Amino acid sequence: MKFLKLKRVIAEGWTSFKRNAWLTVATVLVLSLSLFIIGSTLFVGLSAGELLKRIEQNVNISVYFKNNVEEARILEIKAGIEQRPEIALVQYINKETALEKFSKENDGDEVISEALKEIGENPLFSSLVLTAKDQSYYEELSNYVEKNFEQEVDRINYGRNKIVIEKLGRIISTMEKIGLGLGGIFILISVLVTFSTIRMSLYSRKKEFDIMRLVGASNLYIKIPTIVEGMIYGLLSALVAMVFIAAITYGGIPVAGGIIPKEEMIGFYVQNIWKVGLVVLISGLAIGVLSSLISIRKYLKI
Amino acid sequence: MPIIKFENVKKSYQNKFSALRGVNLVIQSGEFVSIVGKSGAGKTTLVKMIYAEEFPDEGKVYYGERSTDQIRKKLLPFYRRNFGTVFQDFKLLSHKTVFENVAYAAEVIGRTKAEIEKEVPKILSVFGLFEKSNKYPNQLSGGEQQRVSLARALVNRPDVIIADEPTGNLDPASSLEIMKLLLRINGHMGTTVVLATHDNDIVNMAQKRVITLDGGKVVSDQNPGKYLI
Repeated sequence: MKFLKLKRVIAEGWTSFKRNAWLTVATVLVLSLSLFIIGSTLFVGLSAGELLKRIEQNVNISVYFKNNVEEARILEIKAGIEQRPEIALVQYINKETALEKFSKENDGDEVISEALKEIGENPLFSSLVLTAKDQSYYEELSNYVEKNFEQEVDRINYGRNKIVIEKLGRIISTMEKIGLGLGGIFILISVLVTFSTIRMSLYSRKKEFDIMRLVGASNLYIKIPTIVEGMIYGLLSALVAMVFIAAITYGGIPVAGGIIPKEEMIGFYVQNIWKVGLVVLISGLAIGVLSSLISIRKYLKI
Repeated sequence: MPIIKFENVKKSYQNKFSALRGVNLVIQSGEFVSIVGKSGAGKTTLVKMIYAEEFPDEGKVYYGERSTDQIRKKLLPFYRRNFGTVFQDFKLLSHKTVFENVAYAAEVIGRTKAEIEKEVPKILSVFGLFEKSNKYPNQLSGGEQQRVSLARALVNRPDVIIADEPTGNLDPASSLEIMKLLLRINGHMGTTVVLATHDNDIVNMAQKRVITLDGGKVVSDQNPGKYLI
């Protein structure tokens, strides 16, 4: 008997959803828009955070050695630096590898290859690339190298990178704050609009609720189909929103691809689109059900 | 056996003359009672009090042994299942078919699918609506809609049928037809019928008890009676 009634009220909700076609379309559209905003705000937030982390990981110090320093000495210094606890990785790049890399990076640039030819010899320095376990160690590391190997070291490029990194960090954190603020406002507006849309759609059915009560339907029997309807709204809207979010962000991969390699971007995308999808789905269900629940209370006073 | 009893019932609405000014009456189980009077005489207020849509300011309305003010709000929908109601504006669910409208009332009280599939077509045939099972209310004539509403009122075999101006929107022929159905329900099934109306033709045809209200008071109660005012 209980199960029979449950089955009935769910079917009731589905039928009502189907037969209120226009209001359904309107409600789903508005709710989809809300969820789209929620989802894309979240996705942008996640992406920006990831981007900053990636850039921070790419930070390192290049220590360039004077031309007269023997390779054996450089390797000795390398071994010394590797002993330090704050070091994550030390890479040795000799003159030849450096030139190879440089030519490859500037392949097709006529001016540079002409210039290299003009010079005749390898103009690049051997270097050690130091990666620390944390960004905060670089200052100390840079000072250490400068003090102890003053004679061998030509220059350290820490200072230059530092400014760029800090600037980028600031830009991203400002962007995140603006995004969060704007996202919050958008979310609030769209939730309110969705709420009143569902409320309107229920208002137009006030007479119906009266009739249902008159035939002896208990409040719960009227309420549950409405909640089911709200759930269907949420589910459908989440789907619509996700299709758009997935398509747009996927389209955005090549655009952002300049900063992060494309393969990594796709991995990141796949990893995060699920999280966003889950949040969108839950928000959709919550908004749909809550709006229905709160709205219908008004019409069920006996 | 008395089924409905009004004890010195008074009711007034804000900024208005009082709707009921001390009504006393008893309706026996199985009776057919017409409540007549001009607009504003208090007919609708009186019948609404029977199915607890309105409550008296003073006095009591009894259904069986119990007075309506003792029913807990939560249990009102269950109380209303004792009654089948029919109204001037039919009050059909517009997005449901004829079949679904009648079936809804049975579903609400938890009757099984098998019961509903057996019972609803039967009752629709009795009211000459079987062919219209899959039509929506707006595809039917007024008389047909009122018959659907009557079928819905009867599907759970209530003890009492309350009809509030059931013929108010119908032409004389359809009105007569609805009245005949109400009389048949009363005669064949023993269902108590309370009819509020100002349609003198159908009241005079019935040859049943007539209670006349005027200015919120019972001015005449005759069995069998005639439409007086």
